Order: sequence, then structure tokens, then C-alpha cells
Amino acid sequence: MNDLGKNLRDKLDSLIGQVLPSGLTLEGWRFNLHVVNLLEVGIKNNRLGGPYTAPSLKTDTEGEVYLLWSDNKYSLGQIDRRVLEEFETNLDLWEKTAYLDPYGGGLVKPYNPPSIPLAQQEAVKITNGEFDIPFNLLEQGKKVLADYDCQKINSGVRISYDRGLTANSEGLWVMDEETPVEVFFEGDDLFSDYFVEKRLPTNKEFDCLLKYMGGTIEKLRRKTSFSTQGELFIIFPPKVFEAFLEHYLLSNLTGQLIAERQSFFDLEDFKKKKKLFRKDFTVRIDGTRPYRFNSYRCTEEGVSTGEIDLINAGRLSTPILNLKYAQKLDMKPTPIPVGGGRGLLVIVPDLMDLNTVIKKLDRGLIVHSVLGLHTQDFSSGKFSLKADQCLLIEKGKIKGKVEAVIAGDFLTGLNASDSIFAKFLQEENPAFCMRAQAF
Amino acid sequence: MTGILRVDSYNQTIQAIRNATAQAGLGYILRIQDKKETMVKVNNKDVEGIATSFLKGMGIQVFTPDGYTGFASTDRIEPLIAGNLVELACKLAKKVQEKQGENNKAIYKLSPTRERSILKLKYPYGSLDLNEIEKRLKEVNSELTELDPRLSVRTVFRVVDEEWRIARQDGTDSSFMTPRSFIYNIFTAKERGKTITTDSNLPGSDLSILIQPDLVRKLKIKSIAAAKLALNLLTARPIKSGSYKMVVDYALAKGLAHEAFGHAAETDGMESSILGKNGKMRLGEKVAADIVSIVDGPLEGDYAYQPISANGIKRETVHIVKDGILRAGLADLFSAEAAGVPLTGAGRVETCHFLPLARMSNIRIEVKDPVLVEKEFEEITPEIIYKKLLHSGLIRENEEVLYLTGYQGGQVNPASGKFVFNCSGIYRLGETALLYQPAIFSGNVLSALNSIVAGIGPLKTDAMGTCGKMFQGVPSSGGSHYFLLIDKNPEITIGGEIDE
Repeated sequence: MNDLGKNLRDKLDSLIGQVLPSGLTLEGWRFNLHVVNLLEVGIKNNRLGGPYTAPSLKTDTEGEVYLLWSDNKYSLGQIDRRVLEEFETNLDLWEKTAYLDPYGGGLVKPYNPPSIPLAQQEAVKITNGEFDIPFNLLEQGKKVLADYDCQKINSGVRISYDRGLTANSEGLWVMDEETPVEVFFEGDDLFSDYFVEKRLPTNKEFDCLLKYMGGTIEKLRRKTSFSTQGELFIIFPPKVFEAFLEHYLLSNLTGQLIAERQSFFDLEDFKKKKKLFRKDFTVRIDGTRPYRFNSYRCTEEGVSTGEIDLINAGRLSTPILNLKYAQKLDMKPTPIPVGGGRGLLVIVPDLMDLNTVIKKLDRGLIVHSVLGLHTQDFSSGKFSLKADQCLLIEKGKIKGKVEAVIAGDFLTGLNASDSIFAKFLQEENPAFCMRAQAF
Repeated sequence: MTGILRVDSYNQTIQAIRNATAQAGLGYILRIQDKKETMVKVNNKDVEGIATSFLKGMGIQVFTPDGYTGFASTDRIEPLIAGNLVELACKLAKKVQEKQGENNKAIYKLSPTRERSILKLKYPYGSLDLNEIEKRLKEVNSELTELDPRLSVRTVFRVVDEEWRIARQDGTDSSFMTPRSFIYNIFTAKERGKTITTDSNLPGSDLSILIQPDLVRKLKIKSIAAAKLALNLLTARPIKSGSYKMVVDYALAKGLAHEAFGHAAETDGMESSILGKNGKMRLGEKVAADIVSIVDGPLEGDYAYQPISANGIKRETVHIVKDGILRAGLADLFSAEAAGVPLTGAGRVETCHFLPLARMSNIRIEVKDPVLVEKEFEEITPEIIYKKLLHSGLIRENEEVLYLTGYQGGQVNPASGKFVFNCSGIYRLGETALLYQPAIFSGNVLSALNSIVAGIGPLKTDAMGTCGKMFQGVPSSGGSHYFLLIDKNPEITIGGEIDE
């Protein structure tokens, strides 16, 4: 990695100031490189490591180069381990694909971003050939879910060792190491859940995941009828809530969409710090916590990790901005959330306990799964979905599993005074309860 | 077929893999991929970015004599690393054996094949100067952006030049191309705090979509319709939820075929599929109206074209349903036998770093004796559909019929048979059609196809998408007649709201 990075740096530096055959003059560059070892293994239909979930080890070098030419022209290309061997061919292509962009410029000045521990040695050893732990996790999970009478189990473990380098012609040189770990289980086609961090799960975390899964599957096996239709409260457990946050909030907070008038929010909304949500609702990015799945040292552009509120006490604070759109909107670049909706931290003071919320509801649904979220128009804020795995609540008690079609406005729900945020087991983000229509 | 492919140059690597596996007594499937692509994005008249990318790599799936399997992949296609890669995959396979995992010996029952598929593309990757591509896309985008000040328009163009080579221990050595391209326009309309997004697209296999006047014109007509739809939806009301008699366009029909049926017909999920019983496909059972057939298979020039499977087996065109009867499955090497159906070469893979799964290619619904339509699909308005249905006697005057247009993707649970897909907009048909907001279309696999009443117009099979399964995305496409008429059925519902 170091040699490839240094040689690429030297090669690009040697071109700076030269007029190339295309007439372009290189004025600056940045690149990032990742050397990744990824181990995956899974269970499909109770069977470990068959032809569809065979244990696999991937080794790959991948990255991106961004070139700053004279006259506001730029090139963006994917690079791999052959970037130097095929440099002349690549350079020719990069010259040909140079495009004009008044806001394309901008390189981060050299600095030392926070050194956050993100690589666990135990996980590194797995990708280097000590394969027992992922197999044991799968075996243990299968055994525990079988105790809950699960007849069909699908699961998977993914463990990566990612060595990264981010550099630019200003002298930025940031190296990092990460070990993202994902563990996933699904039982009886009813319910799935996962663990994801930049380390292996502790025994307690793993037990808690399986126990919650087993308990939920048991509840979803007990069917009940749901014949009436109308408005009621629906509860999104944290991981479903995060999927909605990703689709409706994260998309609409993207700087590029705001700059181009393609978001639900307008630029003026941010400039005026417009209050569009409840005053107890804050959404934060925090990439600084050790071994967390959404932590990192710097973005691919070299912008430092950090902690920043996108929505503060109900008011829009800043869009998510890379260097280009920060420049275009005349705002500061921000850290970028990693991991979709799970990269957004929802902070609400005085969370209610979910069981208390359930007891208070005359009628409601706990929505454990929806079909078709990705088909919805994120910019409208509205949803119309099939909720295929729900638990019906009547007079404060869970009655059993139902299916429903649900419809509502998620962004409006986040601002509604009668919506409720509730503490949910070991999850960091809360569960969310809002009014919607169901039939 | 004659012609040279980039993947032809890896003979030494293939030989090295062959030697290493023979020495270890292993069966294998080697997948070599060589892909290059260019993506251009234009946003509100300005170029947002041009990006190029490459993927060169190989993945080797080894099999012990007892059928235990392990997989290793790398971005190096070099003879020198063959031994190491085989050793790693073998170590993983032996771990499965040690843990008494699943074995599958299907690899040892195949006959060797030497297929070669080289397409003669009219305007292949690299045949148009990038400045010219940029210029044409800016023209497309600018014209659409100027339609209305309430609109913003993002245009994405992608062209992929991809080649594969698949080798096995039985001497199989097959090569093929999977070229593809698309132009995708995304329209956002904003007014008085409301925001609506719609889209239009034109898929293909090469740069023709930017060059051929008929294709350029087709995209323009589709795009203007999508832009107007976004603007009109700003003031559209929600539809009342419930069951309706419905017309769906061919892109939504592709969604119906894909979500409501195709996934359930994939044999790697037959143990829990609604179309399976005790792991075997329910062949011979009636699953659709007598007039309905469902076909899946590669079409040359199609966005999702793949003539040979990721396991080196020729991909067949399969009549999954013929005249309403379930006839065949989408069967890959490792699950065909267990599902009780012939192997059809349905294994596909996103990149050489993944393991293949049974997947669709181009899936279409064909209906007997369709209503004739002379106009091009793009020229047909909701009012014309209404008149056509009336004149054909398929609906009565003032009968409540909805027309769903613009496929926005879908999802299915093959085990329960529940599926959904979404549209861009809904019209209540009449002399003057009334527009409503989009709402989810949901139903059950086994009831949906029984409710198809008629096909309207000729077949149109270029509805494109990306199909996700087990964390892999592959190009998909399909269609039907221009429109399908679906009868009112309590098990097929439109989301919407309780009251209009």
C-alpha cells in the first residue's frame, strides 16, 4: 500500500505544471486507495457454506483519483492495483474525460485527523486465515434460534480488513485501518436482524441480538385478524426507523440535491435555520467513536471526521456537504455519514420506554418489516407501503401478527406533536411512533 | 463466433489454475471478468461529473471430491497467484467439510462446453468521442430543464463494456460479452413546499441510445411525459385505497412478472418458495389465467443480456408459465436437480468477487390475442387507452378503472408470495383522465396472474432495472404488451389513503 501510494504520488507530482499533449496542465491531485481483505460465510436454509453461501475470501485494491487541471477542468477515475503499470493509458483517458466545473476545485490542506481505533486485531487475524470465529458465530446463532423453534435459518458473517490511504498534492497523507464486521440472521422468513460495528460482537451483544430475534419471531408466529381500516399509531423499531431515515431524511439532506433544487428542503431553509421538526429532535453525525461502524478518520476527499448536527433542536443546521457543494453553497464541508440511516444519530431527550408507549396505545402496529421502501419518492416525504410483518396492538397489548398497507408522511410525522420517540433495548437510535393510515 | 475479446489473453492464468486444482484433486469454476465503464452526469445544464472505472479480476470456486466448496477472488489475473488462490479456496472448502456444512456435487455431472458469444454492436464503447457524448447529453438535459421553471433535471448516462470468461475442470472454456448502456432523466418539480420526483429512461447495449435519431426521439417523448407528470403531481390528490380494475403499462407489467413471479420461480429458493412443495417446483399446476404465459431469456441488444451463465452453461429461454400452467423454473447448476426441473443456465453474478445465484434476465408476460394498437407506445395518452378499452368491449362506459404508469421498482417475499411495486402516477380513466398520487400496488403471487384479463398492443420488452438479491445487483429487464388489463381482485390492492 505504502509503495503503491508513494509511487503514485511521485508520478502525479512529476506531472504538475506540465502541459500535456491534450493541452491540459495538471495543477493538483488527490487520490484514495484501499487494500481490502474480505471474508464472508453464510447459512442458507439451515445449511452452512453451500454453493450460495460458500466461505469466500476477496482480496482487492481499489480507489479513486481526482485530477485538477488548468481552466477549471477536472477528471475523476477509479483506480486499482494496476494504476502505475497502466499509467500512460489511464492518463490519456483522464485527459479525455476532463470536464469543466466552476465548483470542482478544492484540496484539503495537510493536517492530522483524529487517530481513532477502528481495527480490531482479532478481526484482522480472521481475514488472515484464522477462520474459526465466523463459523462459530453462525453455529451458535443457529443453535439459539433453533431453541426458539426456528425451522429455517439464513445468516451471514462479513469481516473486512481495510487499509486506506488518502493523499493530495498539498501534502495530505492520511493512513488508516478498519475492520468492519457484519453479522446477520433471519428466521422462518419472518424477521431478520443484524450486528454491525468495526469490531466483533461481544458475547453479551450477540446473545442480546439472538434473544431479541427469537422473541420477535415467536410473537410474529401468532397470527391475528386485522380487518378494520383507518388512522392509528405505527411504531418503527430502530432499524426500520433508520431505513426510513435513510430514505427520506438522509437523501433530502444531501448537499448536491439541495443545491440543485432536487430535495424536499431548500437552501434558504438551512440559511434561515428553519424549524421544520420538533424542538426535541436532533440529528447528528459522529464519526469519532472508537470501533463504531460509522466512524472513520477522514472522507475520501480528506475532510476530517467529526461531530456535527444536521438538525439541531428541530431546526435545519447544515446539509451534508462535500468539497464541491460546500464551495457552491458557500458553506463549510461536513463529515459524511457512513452506513446509511444508521449513520445518523437521533438524539431526543427524555425517551419513553417502548413498553410504556405500547401500554398507552388503544390501537397500533409495530412494523417489523416493509416491502417497497426503495420504490418511494423520497423528495415528497410520503410513503405507501406493504408492511408484511407487523404486530397488532389493541388496548395496550400485543395481540399478534398482521399484515397491513400503511400510508403517511414521514417528514410530517417527525414534526408531529403526538409522535413519540422510545428507548428500544440495546439500540442507540430510538423507536419511532407516528400516526399513519392502515388497512 | 469469430472476433477477439480482452479475456482471450488470460490463457496462461487459466492453465495455471487448471494445474493447481488438478494437483490438489479439486473441481473448480473460474470466472474472469474484464469491465470498463464510463458515467456522465449532467445536472440542470451543467456537467456534474464524468467518471471512468475498470474492474479486472477473477474468482475461483473450488469443490472437493465430496462437493464441499470454498471461494477466493482477487483483482489480479496472473498465473503466479493461481496456486495461492486455489490453496485459500481449498482451505475454506475444507473448513465447511470439518463443520459438516452443505455439499453439492452438481459440478461433476456437467458436460464440457466451449461457447463463445461476441456481439456486433453498431456503436460500441469508445466509438464516440467523450466531448461529443458530453455535448449530446447537455443538449438532452438543457432542453428538458427549460420545459418549466419549477423543474430541475438530472441526466445520468452510463455505458459498460464487459467481458467474461468461465472455465471449469471438465474442460469448459466459454467467453461472452454483456455490454449495456442507459440514459436516465430524473425530474424534480417543486412548488409551494411540495416536491415530486419522476423519471424516464432509455436502455440499450451501446452508444446507439445517444446517436440513433429514433431512439433519441423516443427518449425525448418519454422524458417530456415524465416531466409533465412531475408537474401535474404537485396538485394531485391521493387515491382512495382499495381494489380496482386496473391497466398497467409494460414497465409495471415487467415489475409484475419480475416481483410477482420471477423470483418465486428461481430454483435456489424453491425450498421456501410459494411455487414449491417439499422443495420441488409445482410443475403442471395452474398459476395464471389461461391466456397468460411468462417467458424469461436473454435478448440480444437488451440491457440485461447474458447468453451464458456465470457457471459456464448456455442460458436458455424458458417458458416458466405457458397458457396459465407452471412449466419450468429459472434453474442454476446447484439447485435444478433438487427443484426437479431441467438446468436452464440461470446463474448470474454481479462481479467476479461474488458467488452466482439463480436470476432472471429479460422476463415478459405474453397474453393471447392482444388488442391491436397502431400507435407507438410513447404516443398513447390515458385518454387513448380509455377509448381503446371501451371500443374493445373490455370496460363499460363510466366503469371505474385505474391506469398505473411508470415503474418505480418493487419487492417480493417469495416465501409468503406477497409482492409490491410502485408507480409514478395513477390516472382514473375517462374521457378526461384524472391524475392521482402514486400508491403501492400489492398482491399475492398466486392471485395476481389469474386476474390478467387482456393484453393491449404489441410486446415491448425494454423496461430496465437493477435486481437485488443476497446483496448483489444485476441488470434486469422485461415487459409485456404495451398495457395489461387486470381485473378487480380483493387480493390486489392499491395503497393510497382511506379517503380521497
